[in-house]
Amino acid sequence: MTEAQIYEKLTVLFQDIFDDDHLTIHADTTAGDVAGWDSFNHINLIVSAEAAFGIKIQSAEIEELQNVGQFVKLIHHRLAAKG
Amino acid sequence: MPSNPVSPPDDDTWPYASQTLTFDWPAQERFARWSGDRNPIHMDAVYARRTQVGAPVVHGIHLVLWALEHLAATQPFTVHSLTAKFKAPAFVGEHLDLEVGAGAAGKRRIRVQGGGRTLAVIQLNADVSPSAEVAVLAAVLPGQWPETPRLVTQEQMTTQESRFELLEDPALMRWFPHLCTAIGATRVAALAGLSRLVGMICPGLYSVFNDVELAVVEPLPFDPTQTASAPLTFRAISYDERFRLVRLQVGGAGIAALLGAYLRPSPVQQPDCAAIQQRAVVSTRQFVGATALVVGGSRGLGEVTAKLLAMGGARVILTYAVGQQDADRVAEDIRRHGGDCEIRQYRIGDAPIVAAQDGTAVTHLYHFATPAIQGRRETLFQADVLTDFNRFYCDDFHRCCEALSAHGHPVRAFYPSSVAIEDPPVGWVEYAMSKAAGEVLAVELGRRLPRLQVLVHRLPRTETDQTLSMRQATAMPALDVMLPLVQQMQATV
Repeated sequence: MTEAQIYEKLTVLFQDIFDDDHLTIHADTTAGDVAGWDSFNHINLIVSAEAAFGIKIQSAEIEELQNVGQFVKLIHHRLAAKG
Repeated sequence: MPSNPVSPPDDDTWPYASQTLTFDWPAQERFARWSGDRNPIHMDAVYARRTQVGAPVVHGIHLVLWALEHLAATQPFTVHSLTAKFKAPAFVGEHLDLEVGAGAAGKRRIRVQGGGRTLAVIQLNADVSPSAEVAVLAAVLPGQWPETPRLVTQEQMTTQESRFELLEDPALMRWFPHLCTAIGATRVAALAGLSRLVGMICPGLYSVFNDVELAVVEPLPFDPTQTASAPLTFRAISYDERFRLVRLQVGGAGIAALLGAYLRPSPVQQPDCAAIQQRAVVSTRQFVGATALVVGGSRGLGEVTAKLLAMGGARVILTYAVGQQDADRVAEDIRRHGGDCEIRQYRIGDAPIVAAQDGTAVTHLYHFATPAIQGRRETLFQADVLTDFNRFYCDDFHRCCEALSAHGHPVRAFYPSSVAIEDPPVGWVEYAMSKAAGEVLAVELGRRLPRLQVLVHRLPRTETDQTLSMRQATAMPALDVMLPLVQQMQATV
C-alpha cells in the first residue's frame, strides 16, 4: 500500500472519529489542528487504524508520534514488514 | 407511524421526543433508577470534579434512548441493528441538540450535539451487523447486580463474565412509548441495562463507555409492550492493556451486542502524612511559628502542601470549595500525625481569610484554587474559558493578597504558575494565558503592596487529578515538586 493510499484510508477514519465529512489531513496535521482531538479520541484513532490496516503499534511508538505524516510513515513501515 | 401503546405520564412532560433537550438532575436520577447505573461520574458532582472531565456526565445510553425515541415518534421506524459511539461527554445541565440524517441503504444517522461539537453518533441499519451476531454465552453463570460500582483491576478484566436479571420498571414504557412499540420494551430495558453493565460491573467504577454495536435478535421472548424479567449475559472477550480498553460480548433480552469501554485512570492519591514523615523530608520544627493559608488544600498540590507544612510544625488553614469530605480526610491525616489544621469552606469571591479562628494572623499564602483545567474545547480559543480561569488565577489571588497586606502583618505568598506558558498542551491555551497574566500580577503585587513578598514559580506537569489523561503522560510527583518550594517559602520564618 502506498502512502497516498494510506492517507486516503486514514482520512475516512479521521472523518468518522471526528464526525466531520469534510475533514482533510496532511503530513503536518497535528492534534491542535483538529477540533476534538483529545487524549480519548487519540486512542480511538489508533485503535481504529490498527483494525483498519491490520497492524499493531507499540505504546512507545504512539507516544512519539508528532503529526499525521509520522503516523502514515509508521503504518507504511508496519505494512511493508508484514509483506 | 407506530401507535402509542400507553399514555405519557401526567405528572411530567419531559420532552424525550423533542429535538433539543437539557438533562437535569431529575433526569439523571430517573435514568439511574431505570437502568441501575449509579456510577458517581453521573450522579455525584463532587466526585465527578476529580475525574478527567471535571463535571457530572449524562449516561451515554440515556442519549441513545432519547435519540431513538425522537426518531420513533417522528418517522416510521424499523431497526435490525445499530451502532452508537460516544465521542465526548455530555454534561448535566448542558443544552443538547439532535440532528437526524438519512444515509445509504436505509441507514439513519443521528448526531447528539452540544457546544458546537458532536458528542455521540447513533447509526441505525436495516441489516444485521455480522460482528454483533447472537452471542454464545450459554455457559455463563448467574450473578448479582452490585449496589455500588465494582472496582475491576486490569488483571481481573479478561475474567469478567456473568448473567443478570434486568430491572423491571414500567416507567420506561411511559417515557419511551414509541421506542417500546418499535423494538419492544424488553429491548429498551436491555439497552438501559448496558449502561448498568459498564458503569457498575465491567469496567465498573472507573469506566468510560465508548461504543456499542447492537443487533436485534428474534424472537423477542416477551410481550413487546411490557418489560418482563429477562437475563442479560456478558463476557469480556478482550482487554488491550495499552489503552485499557475492554470489549464485552452481551446477549439476551432480544439483543446481541459488542461493547467497548475504557478503564479510565483513578483519582490521584497523594502521599499521606506517614509517608512524608517516613521520608523525613521536613523536620517537625522546621516551620514552627508560621500560620499558612492553603487555598484549595483538599486535594492535589494544595493537599501535599498542607501536609508538608503541618508536618514541619506550621499551623495550617486549609480551604475547600465543594469537597468537604476530601478536606476532612486531609485534616484528619494531619491531626493524626500531630499536625495543627483548621478547615474552612472558601469559594472564590468570598471574604478573604486573613487569620485563624483564634485571631492568629496568616503569615503565608499558598493559592491553589482552580477550575477544571481539561474541558471540551470547541475552538482554539474561548474568551469565556479565559475569563473563568482569570477569576481564579488573577482576581482571587489579587483579593487574597490585598486583604492579607491590609491586615498589617508581614506575609509571603506563593503563586503557582506553570510551564504550560512556554508550551501549552492542546486545549490548554486559555489556562496558559491566564497563568501568564497571573505571573505579571503576582510580581506587581509583590512590588506594590506593603508587607507582601511573592514567590512565583512555573510548576512542571505534576501528578494531580487535573493532569489525568487516557494517554501515558509524564508527570512529576506533587511531593517532589512542592517540597523545595515550601522550604523556600518558609525559609525566613
